[in-house]
Amino acid sequence: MKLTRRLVLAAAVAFTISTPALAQYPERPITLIVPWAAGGGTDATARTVASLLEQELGKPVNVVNRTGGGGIVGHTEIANAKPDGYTLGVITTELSLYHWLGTSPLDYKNYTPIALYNTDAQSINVRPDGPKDLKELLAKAKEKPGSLKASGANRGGAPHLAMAGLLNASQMPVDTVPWIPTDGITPALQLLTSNAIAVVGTTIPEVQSMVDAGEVKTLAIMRAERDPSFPNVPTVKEVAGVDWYLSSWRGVAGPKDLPADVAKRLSDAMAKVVQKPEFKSFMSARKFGMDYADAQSFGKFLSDADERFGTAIKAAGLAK
Amino acid sequence: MQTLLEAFRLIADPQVIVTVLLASIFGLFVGAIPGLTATMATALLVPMTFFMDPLSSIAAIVACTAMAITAGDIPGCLLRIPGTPASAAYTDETFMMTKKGLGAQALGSSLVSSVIGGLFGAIVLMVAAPSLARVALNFSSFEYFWLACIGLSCAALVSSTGFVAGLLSLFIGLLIATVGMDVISGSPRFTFGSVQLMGGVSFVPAMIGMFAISEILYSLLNGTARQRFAKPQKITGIFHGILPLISKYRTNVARGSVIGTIIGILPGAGGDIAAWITYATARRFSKESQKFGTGHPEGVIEAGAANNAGLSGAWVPALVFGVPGDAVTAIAVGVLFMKGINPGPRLFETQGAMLYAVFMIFLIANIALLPFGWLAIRAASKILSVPRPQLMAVILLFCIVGSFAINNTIFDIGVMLVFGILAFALSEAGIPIAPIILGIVLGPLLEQNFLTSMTIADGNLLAFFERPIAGVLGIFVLLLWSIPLVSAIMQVSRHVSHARPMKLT
Amino acid sequence: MSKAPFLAGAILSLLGAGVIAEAMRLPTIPGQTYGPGFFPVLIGAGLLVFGAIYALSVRRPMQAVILLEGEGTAPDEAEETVPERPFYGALAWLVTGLVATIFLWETAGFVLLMSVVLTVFMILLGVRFWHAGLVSIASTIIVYALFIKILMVPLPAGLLAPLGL
Repeated sequence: MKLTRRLVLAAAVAFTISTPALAQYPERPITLIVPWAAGGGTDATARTVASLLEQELGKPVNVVNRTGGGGIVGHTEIANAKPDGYTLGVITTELSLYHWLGTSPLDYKNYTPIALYNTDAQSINVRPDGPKDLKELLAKAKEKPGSLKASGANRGGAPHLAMAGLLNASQMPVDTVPWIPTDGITPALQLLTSNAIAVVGTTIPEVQSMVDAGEVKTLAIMRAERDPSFPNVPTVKEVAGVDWYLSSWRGVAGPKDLPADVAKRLSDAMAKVVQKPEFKSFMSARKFGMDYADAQSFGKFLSDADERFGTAIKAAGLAK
Repeated sequence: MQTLLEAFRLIADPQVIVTVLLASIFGLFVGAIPGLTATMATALLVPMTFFMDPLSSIAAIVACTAMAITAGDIPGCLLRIPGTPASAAYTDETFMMTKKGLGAQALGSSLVSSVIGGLFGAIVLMVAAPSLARVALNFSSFEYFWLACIGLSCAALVSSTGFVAGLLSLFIGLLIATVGMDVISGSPRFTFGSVQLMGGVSFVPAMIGMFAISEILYSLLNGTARQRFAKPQKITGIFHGILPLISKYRTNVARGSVIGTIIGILPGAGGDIAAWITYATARRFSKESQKFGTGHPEGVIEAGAANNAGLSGAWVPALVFGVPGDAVTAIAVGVLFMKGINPGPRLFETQGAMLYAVFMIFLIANIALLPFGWLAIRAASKILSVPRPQLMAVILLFCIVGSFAINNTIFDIGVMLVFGILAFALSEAGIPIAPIILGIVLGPLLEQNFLTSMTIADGNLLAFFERPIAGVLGIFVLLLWSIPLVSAIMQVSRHVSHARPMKLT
Repeated sequence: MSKAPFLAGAILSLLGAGVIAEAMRLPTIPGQTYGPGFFPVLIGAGLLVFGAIYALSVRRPMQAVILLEGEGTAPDEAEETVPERPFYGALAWLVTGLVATIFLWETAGFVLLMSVVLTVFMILLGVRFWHAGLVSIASTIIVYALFIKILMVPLPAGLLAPLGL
C-alpha cells in the first residue's frame, strides 16, 4: 500500500519533470556539468560561459563539477543525461582520446555539439640555453636519439600526443624524444628548469609566465597559422617544414539526440555569449585562445580532432 | 619607501577591508564544516572575484584560506573529523585533549602557533620570494623522491602503537594511493572495472570515514553512545594559559615555521606534508616523547605553525613564476591572470605597490585569525554540551554531505562507509590510522617521482645520487633509516635475551 | 584479546599476496625497467611480510613489548561512566541507513532520506520520538538550504521536489 503510493508519487514527480512541452525552452534552471575540478581552467571558462548563458536564456545555469576518472565520469554523465536540454556539459580534449586509448567507449558521436568556445594550440618549449629553434632541436634529437627527453603531461595526454604526432610527421620514430610522463604541467616545468629534461610540450598560456620570467622559451606552436595572441611564435610548418597542428579544445554540448529546436536555441545563445565583452575580456585575461565554432562546424571540428588525435595515438603506440 | 606608502594607501580602501572581513567569516564557516576544504572555499570565491578590484580579490582569497585552514582543525579536534589532510596529522592528538577537557586549549594553542607560522611565512615571502623561488626551481623529480622518503620516515614516528603496526598501516595507505588510473603508464590499477575508481579513492570521504565514522561505530559497539562526548571544556579568559604554553614550546614554533615555509615553497609538496613532517620532528626531538598520542600539545603546536607557514610559502613560486605550490594557489594564480596581474619576477618591479599590499594582506589576515579564530573556537566548544545521540546524528549528517560535496557523487558516500568500517576494524586490531593518511598523501609523490626519475635516467638507480641536492638528501635519508634499523636490531637482540623477565611484568 | 591483531595481520598478509599477484598482471612499458606494477609489488610484499610479523608477534612473547609501548597511550577512561551494553540495533540501522542513502539518494531526495535515517538512529539510542524527529528534520532542512543556496552543492530534492524545496 505504502509502496504503491510512493510509486504513484514518484511517477507523478517524474511526469511533471519530463512533460514540459518545449514550447518555451528553457522553463527551469539548466545544469552545466563540468568533468573537471572546481578551480581549474575548464571550470573557470565554464563558470563564465554559464553566467553569460544565463543572461541570454533568462533561467539559471548551474555549474556542477563531476570529477574523477580523468574526466570520464563527467563526460559519461553528460552523454547519459536526458536529452531535454536541461542537462548540458562542457566537453574537453580528452573526449577525443578515450576511445582510442581504450579507457572508455565514449566519443563525440555520443553528444549533440552546441558550440566550441576555446582552442589552445600545443607548443614546444625549451630552456633559454636550449636549441635556438625547432629545426635545431629536431636535428639534435635525430643525431642522438634518446638524448633529449620531453614532458608536459601524463602518457596519452594531449601534449604527449602532440609531440608523438610531430615526430611522426617529421619521419622520426617516436622514441627519438622519449616522453617522461608527469602528473600535469607543474612538475614537468619543474623538471625542465632543474635541467632534468630538455623539452616541455604544452599550450602557450601554461608557460607564459615562465617565458616572461626568462626561464623558458617557446620554439614553435602547432597551429595552421600563427596565433594572433602570440604573433612572435612561429608555427611548426614555418620552421621545420612539417605539416602538423594539434589543439586542446573546450566546448558546450548536450547528450545525443537533443531536440532540434532546443539545440538551435542554445547554439544561438552561445553565438551571442562569445561576442560579449565580459567573455572576451575573461578569455584574453586568462590567455585562453578564443575560437568559436557553431553547432555544425563544432561537429566537423570534433570529427577532425578525433582523426588527428587517432593518428597521434597510433604513432605513439598507445592505441588499443 | 614610496611603494610601501602606496601599498598602505591601497589597503586602506574600505572595500578591501570589508572584503577581508567577509571573506574571513566565509572561510571560517566553510573550514569549520567537516568535509569542506580550503580549496573548495577558494573555488566558491572565484565567481565573486569577477566583481571585485584586483587587490580585493586576492585579499579575499588570502583571508579566506588562512581562516579555512585554521578552522579545519576545529571539527578534527572536537569531533575527530579532520577538515584537511594537514590537520589529520594531529587530529587524534587534539581529540585526546578534548576528551580530557582541554579541547579549547588544544585549539587555542594551535591557533596561536598557526598565526606565528603564518606571519613567519608571510615575512619570508616579502623578503626573499624571488631568490627562494629560483632555488625551488632546481628541485627535480630526483630531489622530490628523497623528500617523499623523508616524509614516509615520519610514519614510524607518528604512530604510537609500535613500529610494525605503523609500517603495516603505512603500506595500507600506499596501497590505497595506487588505486586508479596510473599517471605514468595511463593504465588503470585495482579499479575492478569501476569508472568511479579510475580517478582513485577520493581522499576527503576516505578521511571522514576513517576518523568520524569509525568513532561512531566504536561508541555504538562499546556502549558509550549515550554518554557525554567529552568532558566539559575548560575555557578560561582569552588566551589565558596559552601564551605560557607557546613560550614553553617556542623551539617547536620556530622549527615548525621554518620547515613549513621551506616545504611550502616547493611546488607540489605543501602544507599537508609539512604538518606531518613537523609533527614527527616534534616527537623525535621532544623531551617527553612518550606523552605524544595522549593529548600532548607539543606536536600540535609545531605542526600548526608549519601548516600555516606552508600556506604562505606556497605563494612564493606562484607569485614569482606562476607555478602554484598547492591547489589553493593554483586557483589564485588563475584569478591573478584574470585581473591582469601576471605572476613573474617582473611583478616585483612593475606592480611593486600592489604586491606589497598583497603581502600586507597576508599579515593582516594572519593577525585577524586571532580574534576570529578565538570566537569560532568558543562557539564551537559549546557543541560538546549537546547530548551525544543528537550530536552523533548531526555529525553523521555532515559526514554524508561533506563526502558527497567534494565530487558531487554518491559513490563517495560509499567510500566513506567502507573506510569507516575498515578503520574501525584496524583500530580494534591495534593498527593505527594516521599512517594510512600519510601513505595516501605521499604515495603518488613517491611513486611518480621514482618512476619519472627512472625514465629520465634510463633505469640507472645511481642517478638518485648524481645531482648535488639529491645526493645530500639521499645520504640524509639513508642515515635516517639506518639509525632506527640498527637500534631496532639491537633492541630485538636485547629483547630476545630478556624475553623471560619481560613476560613477568 | 590477541585474536583481532592475529586475524588482521593474517588478512593483511593475504591481501599483500593478492596485490602482488594482481600487480604482476599489470602491463609493462616497453623499454623500461620500472612499470606501473613495480610499486604495487613492493607494497604487496610489505603487507605480506609485516602482516605476517604482526600476526605472529601477538602470539609470541613479543606481545609484551608492543603492549608496553602501546598501552601507555590509554586515555583516562576511569572517570567516564560505566559503558552500557552495545547498541547493536543502532549499529545495524546505521549501516543499512547509509546503504539505503546510497541507493535512494536521487529518488527519495536528501531531506526525506536523512530525516528518516537520523530520526530512527536517535530513537534507537533512546531519544524520544518527537525530539528525534524535530532535531533531524530541522537540521537536514538547514543543511540542505545551506548547501544548495550558499555552497552550490547539488543535493537532490527527490520526492519533495514538488514542494519547491
